[in-house]
Amino acid sequence: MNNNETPLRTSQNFLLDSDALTKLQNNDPTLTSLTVGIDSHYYDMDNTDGFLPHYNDWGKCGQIIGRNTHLVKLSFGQSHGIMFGNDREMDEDMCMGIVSKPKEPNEKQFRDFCNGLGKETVVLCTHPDHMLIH
Amino acid sequence: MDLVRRRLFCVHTPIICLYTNFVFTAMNRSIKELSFVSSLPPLIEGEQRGVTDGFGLAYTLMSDWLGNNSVEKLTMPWCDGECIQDNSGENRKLARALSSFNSLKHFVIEFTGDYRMGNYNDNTCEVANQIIDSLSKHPNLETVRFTFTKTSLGSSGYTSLSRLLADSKIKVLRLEGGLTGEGAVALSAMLEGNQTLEELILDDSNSRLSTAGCKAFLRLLLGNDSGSIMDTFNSNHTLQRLFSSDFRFTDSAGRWQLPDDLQLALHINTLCNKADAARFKIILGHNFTKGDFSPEPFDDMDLSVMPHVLAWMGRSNADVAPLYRFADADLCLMFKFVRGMAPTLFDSPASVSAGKRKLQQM
Repeated sequence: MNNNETPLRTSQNFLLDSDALTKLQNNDPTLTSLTVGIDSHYYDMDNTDGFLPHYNDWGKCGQIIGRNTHLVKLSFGQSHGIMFGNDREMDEDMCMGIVSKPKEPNEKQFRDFCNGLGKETVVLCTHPDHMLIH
Repeated sequence: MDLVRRRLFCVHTPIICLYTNFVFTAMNRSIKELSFVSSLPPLIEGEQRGVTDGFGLAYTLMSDWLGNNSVEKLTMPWCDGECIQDNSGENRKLARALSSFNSLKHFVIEFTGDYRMGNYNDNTCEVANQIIDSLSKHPNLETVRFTFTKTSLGSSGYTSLSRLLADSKIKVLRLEGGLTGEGAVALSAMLEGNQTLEELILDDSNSRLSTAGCKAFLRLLLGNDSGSIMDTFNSNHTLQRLFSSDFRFTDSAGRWQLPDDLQLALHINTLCNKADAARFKIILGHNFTKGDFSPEPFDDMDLSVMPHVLAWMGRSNADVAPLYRFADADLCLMFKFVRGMAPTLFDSPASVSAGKRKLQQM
């Protein structure tokens, strides 16, 4: 992790290994698999995995994953309707109609994530006349 | 500006560039498997029209990154949403985006989302032909899996699958569920010229290989019942499995449904190389090991071919030997063959000198 970089914030974190996010940001070689969003096993909650990035941190999450060099498997789990997080507002049903607009990750967050990934993409060129862009 | 500066730097310092190239190559080839365990529609705004909603856009957004990674396995879910509406536009987008996976080896569509959320969806959705067509363009593709009972193929899907089997070199095709009897017959026809597919896994709890399907696969693996030796020789010697190893398919009376000869044909393909498989199938299929030898299949052959036939018959393969009904069946076969062919080779079986003359003419 860059010294100037603030840690990645999450709304929900079901990662069984609580250090996983730190490992991700530190490009730790022992972290080879990651689930963004929640992979919820209804019948086997012990196997529920993943984390939901903070509403405003999807772009940062994409960047961190894009620059990681040890992840082998990347999964995308459920990002809606999991349960209430720190930055999510209650939905209508749970507040008996006295609610504001639900605040959940949507297309903007996913675009931010993909832009983050793209920013950190390393372009491979094999000819010495070409350049590698990082 | 930074790019120009780097490019100039690279042109003038090729050794450093080669070094950085090595470093960046290592950085660039990390993620091998990309998996979506849930459908994307909730993440994508706008009208939702079908099961592929979101994936087309998602992969398009990710295509720059995907193009520079070597993702070998892609898993996506199916049937989390409605599938009765036309979402061909999204399918086309998805198919186009799939071309970004330059290194794709394994493609899986599996039903996971609703099951994991404890909410079983009864929809069965067709896999769009555009998606299957896009897979044909991946030269390294080895495994295609459309799994669980929620996946089906329409007529256009079968047509695309036919093209996929003809154009690609996939080794494993898993179509677990949703396969009709006609589908099995169509699949066997698609495999007639195929030399790469080793496993066609059809089973799941609802899958049944109909009588017509069994016959079609028998024809594929052994040639026509009344066909010639060449029919058998040209049959498929690549396909090794039709069901997964833990599959125990029985009828209501608990009897095994897959015909013995179909199992045997698959087993032979598993045991030996294609040449030996062809030989063994001809020996078994044309009853050369049973009763008196009939030279009829060889009647039309040129005499000059006979020494090669004899040598070919005389080969033995320790891998398939246990499949014969008795030990030394190879030798018995040779004996039968020579004895049975004597009338053809020699005008008079008793006339050794005539036989010698005939052999000298070959």
